[in-house]
Order: sequence, then C-alpha cells, then structure tokens
Amino acid sequence: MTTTVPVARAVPVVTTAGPPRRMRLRAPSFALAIPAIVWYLFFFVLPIVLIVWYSFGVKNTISGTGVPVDMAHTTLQNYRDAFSPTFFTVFKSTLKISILATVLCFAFGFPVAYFLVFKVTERWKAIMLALIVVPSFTSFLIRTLAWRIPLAANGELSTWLQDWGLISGPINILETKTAVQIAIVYNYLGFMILPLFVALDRIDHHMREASKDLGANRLRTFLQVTLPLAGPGIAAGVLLTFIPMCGDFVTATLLGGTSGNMIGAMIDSQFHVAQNWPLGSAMAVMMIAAVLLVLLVNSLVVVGVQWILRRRRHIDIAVIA
Amino acid sequence: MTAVAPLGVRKANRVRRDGAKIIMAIWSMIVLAFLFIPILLVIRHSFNRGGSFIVWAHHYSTKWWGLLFVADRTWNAILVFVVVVAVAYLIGRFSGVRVLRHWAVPLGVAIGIIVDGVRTNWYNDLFNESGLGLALRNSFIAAIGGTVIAVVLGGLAGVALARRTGSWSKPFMLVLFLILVTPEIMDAIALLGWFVRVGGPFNNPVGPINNGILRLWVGQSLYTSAVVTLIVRARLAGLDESLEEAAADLGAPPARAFRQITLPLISSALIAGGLLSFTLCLDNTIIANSVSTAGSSTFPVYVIGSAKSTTKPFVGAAAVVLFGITVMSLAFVYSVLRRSGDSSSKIASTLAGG
Repeated sequence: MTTTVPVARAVPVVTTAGPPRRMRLRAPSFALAIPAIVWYLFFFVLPIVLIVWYSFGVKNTISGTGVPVDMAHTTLQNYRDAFSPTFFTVFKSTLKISILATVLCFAFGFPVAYFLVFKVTERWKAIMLALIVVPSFTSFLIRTLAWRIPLAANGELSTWLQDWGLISGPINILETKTAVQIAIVYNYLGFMILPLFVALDRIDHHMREASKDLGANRLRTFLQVTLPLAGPGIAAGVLLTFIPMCGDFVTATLLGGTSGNMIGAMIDSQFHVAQNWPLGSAMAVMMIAAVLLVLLVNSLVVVGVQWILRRRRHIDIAVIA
Repeated sequence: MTAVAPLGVRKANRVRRDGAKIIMAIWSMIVLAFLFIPILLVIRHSFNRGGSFIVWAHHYSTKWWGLLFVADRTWNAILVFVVVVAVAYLIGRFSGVRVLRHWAVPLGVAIGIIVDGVRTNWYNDLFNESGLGLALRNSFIAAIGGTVIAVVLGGLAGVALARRTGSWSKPFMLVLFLILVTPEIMDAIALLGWFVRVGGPFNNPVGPINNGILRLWVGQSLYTSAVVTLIVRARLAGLDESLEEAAADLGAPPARAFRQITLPLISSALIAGGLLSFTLCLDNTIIANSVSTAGSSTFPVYVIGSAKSTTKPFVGAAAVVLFGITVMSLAFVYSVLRRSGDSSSKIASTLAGG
C-alpha cells in the first residue's frame, strides 16, 4: 500500500508538466536579444555600411533637403583627396597627439592605479575611486572649455609664471597643439586609471605574496609576476583610451584652432560646414581602418610579448593562475 | 585585499614599503588635484562678475545665477519637489507594505519631476535665458528617452547573453565591442546620413516626438545600451541559474519566471546601468551635435555654439547644476551596487565597462 501511492502520484507529474510542455514553449536562445540585434543592425551596422558606400560618391551641390551625395557614378577620387597633404598632415598630427597622450596618461595613471590596488585600505580605495570617477563622468565639454581659463595668455597662470620669472613673455599655447595635448591628457586620464585599476585588482594577491616569500625583491615581483598577470587587462585599457582619443572632436574644436586640428574635427566640418559628405565619409573610413590596424598590431604585440615571457620563464604563471 | 597572509608577514611588508608608498600617495594626490582643477574653475567662474565665462574679473557675484534662474519660481519648483519626495519617504518609512517601502523614494522623485514638469512652460518660467532653458529641457528629455531604450534593450540582451549562450553570442559580443570602441564621430556622421536617407519619422519636424528628439533618443541609446548589456550580463554571470531552474521545474511559464525571479535578480544592475547611461546621455556631445535639429539642441550643443563667440558665465551656472545632478546619480549608483553586495573594486569595474 505504502509503495503504490507515490508511484500513482508521480506518473501524472511526469507526463503533464515534464519535457513535452517545455519543448513547446522553448524559444530560440537569442529571443531576448532580438530587440537589441534589430536595433544595432538598423542603427549601427547599416549606417556604417551606408557611410562606406557614400565614400565612393560625388558631392551633390544642388540637392536641397535630401542627402547631398550623388551615387550615379562611383569614384575613388575621395580617397585620392583624403591622401592629399592637408589631410595627411592632420592625420599624422592626430596620431602623434593621441600616442603621446596615451603614453602620458599611462605614465600618470599607472602609479595611481597601483597605489589604489595594493597600498590603501578598502575605505580609502572607495573614496579615491569616487574622486576619480566624479570628475571623469561629468560635463566633458565644459571641463574642456574650462582649460581656456588657465591657458589664456592674459590669464592668472600666465601672470604668476611671469611674476615668478619662470617665463619672459605671456604663455601662448591656446589655439595650438600644446593646448589640445594638455586637455586630451586631462580628459582621458580618469578613463585610463579605471581599467588599469580593474586589471591590477583582478590579480590574485597570493601570487605576489608567494613571489616575495620565495625571495624575489619588489622590482622582480613587479616585473615577473604583477606585470605579466595584468598585461592583457592593461593592454585593453590602453586601447580603450587610445581609440576614442583618435576620434576626439570636442577638444580640438574648443582649444585647437586651425593649427591644432584633429581628424574628428575635420570629418565633422566636412559634414556640417563644407557639406562634402563623400570626402568626409572617405576620411572616416580611413580613420576606422587605422583604428582596426592599431587593434591588430596591439593584439600581435600582446601575443608576442606573452610568448617571449613564456620562453624566458621556467614556470608558466598564466597557466597556474 | 582579501589575501589572508600571516599577520607577521603583512606587518613586515608594511614597514619595508613605506618609501615607495609615500611617493605614490603624493603622486596620486597631485593627479587628483589635476583632475579637479577645471571643475573648481567652472564653479568659480559661474560666480564671475565680468561678462565672460573665460576671463576672471577678480570679483565674485551671483548675478549670472540670477540671470539664469527666475528666483521665486525656481525656489517654488524646488520646494514642490522636496515636499513630494519627503512625503514619499515618510509613507515608505512607516508603511507596512514591502513593495512600497522599497520603491517609495524613487517613485517620489519621479512624481516630483512630473509634477514640476507638467506645469506649463516650466523651462520658460524657470529660466530667464530661455534658449539655455530649452537646451537643458531637451537634454533631459533626450537623456530620459535614451536611458529607457538602453535599459530595455540592454536588460533583455544581458539576460540572453548570460543565460542563453549559443552560436549567436560571439558575433553579438563582437558588435557590442565595436560599439564601445568605435570613435563617436563615426557613429555621429553615420547616423546623420542614415536618418536623412531613411526619412519617415526621422525627417518629420512637427509633433511632440519630432525628428530632433527621436534622433537624439536613437543616437544616445547605442553606446549606453551596450554598457547596460555588459553590466546586466556581469551581474547574472555571478549568480548560478538554480533559482530560474527551480521556478521552471515548479511549472512557472518562462514569462512568469522572468518577472518573478530574473527581474529582481538584475534590478540593481538595471538601476545602476540606467543611472550611468543617464549621466552619459546628459554629457553626450558628439552624436548630439551631429544629429540634433534646430529646435532640439541639447545643453552641450548649446555650449559648443556659444563657444564660437563669448561664452557667458550662466553657462557655467548651468554646468554646476548638471554637475550636481551627475554627482547625485553617481552616488545613487554607488549606494545601489553597494547594497546589492558589490565591493568598491567591483563597482569600479562596472564603471570601466563591465
């Protein structure tokens, strides 16, 4: 008697609420992502495809409200124009500014990230992170504009420096590359520190302790344990700072003038001032190509460095981790 | 900082590393000061007595704040808002209903904004400089719409990525990665070309949801929805699926399991992601500058336009107000994530993009 009751109860459960019902309701695995997929296809992928297509078009001057591009006869002329000396100078100076700014952001930001991860208590970590996040996430534009205040030729900084006899004449860096360089380093410093912090924070602290216990000094622990472990994260952080810098348009527009121009500002002016959409599109395509090239080179370098480190070490630390 | 080393070892280390620690501490202070210099300058220059935001007149004055805000109406609006939120807080505090206790304050904030918002032409009432008032209003409408889209799309996609991985997840992650790394100017011009080409609602300048606002919603939702997706995915990846499986085994249909199990699990991620995307939208310059139309310029677009001639100090005053709003919502993000059990390191990684 006692053995038959559970069996009698169990049977209907299996047949009604079991697998058959679930099979009927199962949607494809990406069902929930469909809205996002459609959105990105329609507002990210297709628009960029359109820009690539426009880059082979001809500027259409007569068009009133529509798209000022004539696609009747496609041409490569825009790319030839984009390689002209004027554009190429700006292209090179953009790369120079961005690379130098990335190096400076890293040099300024890495000690801060390292200090936050390894040297302070949990409480101070939270406070200092907040002090880095708050200025980085607020009023990008107005903070950039505010750099005109200290950098002005008749501003206070200029006056002080002259009073102290550090410089002979007023500082003259507004509307030049130097102003853009300073403001770009400032604008992206916080965005460099955060990923560096995350990369360093993800390291297993026991590895560093083990290295010290095994007799390695601090420099050796840093170079052979900390850096290799955090390497990929650091590389990702550096890239995520470098790429937006290349396309930055605000800083150059507000502080650069004509001599401190950058690609972003130039592309924008092709669309909004010169109304030469095909040329602007060609420039944008070249910018993206350059960015993809940098991504590729970077990943090759990371793989190469890891390979060399692995060859030089006797134990593979990444495998243990 | 969870390393459990023997006490003696840690003490010895601490004594040894003092020199480097002090140097790094001083350096960090210098970097933090560097980060705050322009913000302090913006605050000071919003009280500039002279006629320009850039040139300091060596005297403080609140006249530009007075010129920006119509004082009595502004105080009136703030008072209404504070009263509504306070009443909501009290109701929540002493109410026995659990849902009400949890949601009273956010609900009060929303009601306060709506009550202040439906009073006609509030931006013309509040601001003397109605061009700037209109820009601030557009900024808020654009940011709210962009955030709603980002939270809905990102929430669903994040759940799908964490729970229903398949052959689609890798290409989808690649697209997310591309959205995050593509220089914003590329999105800006591509969307401009696309909107003009597609036309339809994106070229219709009349009505409450005209082309300007619609373009801003779409443009600002791209980056932010990717951010929300990654935050939600990270949140769910840390929790195992047994709760959802239990609900399904107990016979809950998928929609009900989603509403009663998954949604509460990701609610903190949705709130944090939403507030984060709200601040990102408020700050968005490049896409807004490219796609907005004449009547829909946001605050950053207004500032870029004003920078072509003399920027007036009330731009600084408006920036200080926005700065305050951003700091408040970031503090809210912090408290939400903190309450759901994240360490400050985890919060930093959330802000750094998942």
